[in-house]
Amino acid sequence: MDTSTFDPSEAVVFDLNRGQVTLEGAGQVLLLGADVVAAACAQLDANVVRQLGIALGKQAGTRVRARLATLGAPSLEVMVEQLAGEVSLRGFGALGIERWGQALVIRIEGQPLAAQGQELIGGFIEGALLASVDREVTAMPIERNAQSLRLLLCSKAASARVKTWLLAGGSWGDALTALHQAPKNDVVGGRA
Amino acid sequence: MAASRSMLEALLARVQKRAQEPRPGNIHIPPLPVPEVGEAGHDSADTLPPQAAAAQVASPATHAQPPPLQPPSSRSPELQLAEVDDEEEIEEYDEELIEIIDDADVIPQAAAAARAIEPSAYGANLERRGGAPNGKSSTPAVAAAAPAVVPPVAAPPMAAPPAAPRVATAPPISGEPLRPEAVAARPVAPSPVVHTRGVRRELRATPFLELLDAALKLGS
Repeated sequence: MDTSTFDPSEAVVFDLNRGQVTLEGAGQVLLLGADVVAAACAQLDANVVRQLGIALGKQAGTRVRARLATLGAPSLEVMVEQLAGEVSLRGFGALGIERWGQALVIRIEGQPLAAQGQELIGGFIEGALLASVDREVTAMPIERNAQSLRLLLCSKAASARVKTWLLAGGSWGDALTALHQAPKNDVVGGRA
Repeated sequence: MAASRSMLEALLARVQKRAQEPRPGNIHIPPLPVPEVGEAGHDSADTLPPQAAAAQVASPATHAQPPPLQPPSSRSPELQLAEVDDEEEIEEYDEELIEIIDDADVIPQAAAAARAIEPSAYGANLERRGGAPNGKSSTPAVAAAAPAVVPPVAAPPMAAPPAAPRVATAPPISGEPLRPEAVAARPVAPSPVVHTRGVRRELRATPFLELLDAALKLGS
């Protein structure tokens, strides 16, 4: 039976004598309640929350990059396993990647921060990809409900257009469809 | 009187000579003895015994040379002695004919030959023959050997000749069991039906950077 390339063995170490928690031997971490973090994210500027997420993601991406050095060029499956492992260790939920045409969409199930956590998680993905595969990516939230979150992996230019379409009332499905078409046909979701 | 006797003797010699002549056909039949003279007024079919008439129906070759009719005349002691011998020969001849007819029950060739004969051929009539001398009728044997032959009762009013070949598209004759006629497609020569260019990669095995770079090009 094939097993995941992500090995979480002893990833989190509780040093009860010293009162410290370490993540994979690197630095100390804090255990915070999800509701506290959600409340903090709601009070902070979105860019600040995203920068916080990017910082957390870079740490994760660095660990992924170290593991990919032994795994070779990562396939989609390997990358999903590595990213999902890091997201799980942070308690952000279960990660999966969907492909809609040529668009890549990250779906996270069971994320505990609700609407306040989308910028934090989005920044986490951006930082992780930047550190692991050297790609500057925008992880733009396109769909969210109480327990799941969808983040579109795209360029900054594309994210601006998608944001415009979503603000105009279009669905995220229409936005993905229009993203595959020529720019002159990009008007989607317009309602009379 | 002397003239009539000499004429009768000459006639008898002629009949015996003709009877001894070999006859064409597959079935060897001994020379037909001279029938009794003086029973004129009957046609040739009536002159022959029922077994001989049946043999004529079963084998047309035996009818190639019908026995000549003899004019009525008075009888002489020599003729009476000859009649006694002739009667014995006729009985033997009848027995051989009965064997021939009975053999038709089991010999396919004989049955086929009998099936090819029309009941009305040569003026013979099946009804006039009645039953065979041995108590058996030759008709069931023919019917058993050729079940596809339509019985006279079931024949249409304007029946075609029995020997005429039936066209495949003709409707089935009543009484003949229906047989399925199916047309199956001929086997198709093996040939490649689907042609695929390259190999479709499984998504999970696709390099992540390839997918990510393609996604980053969208909307740019």
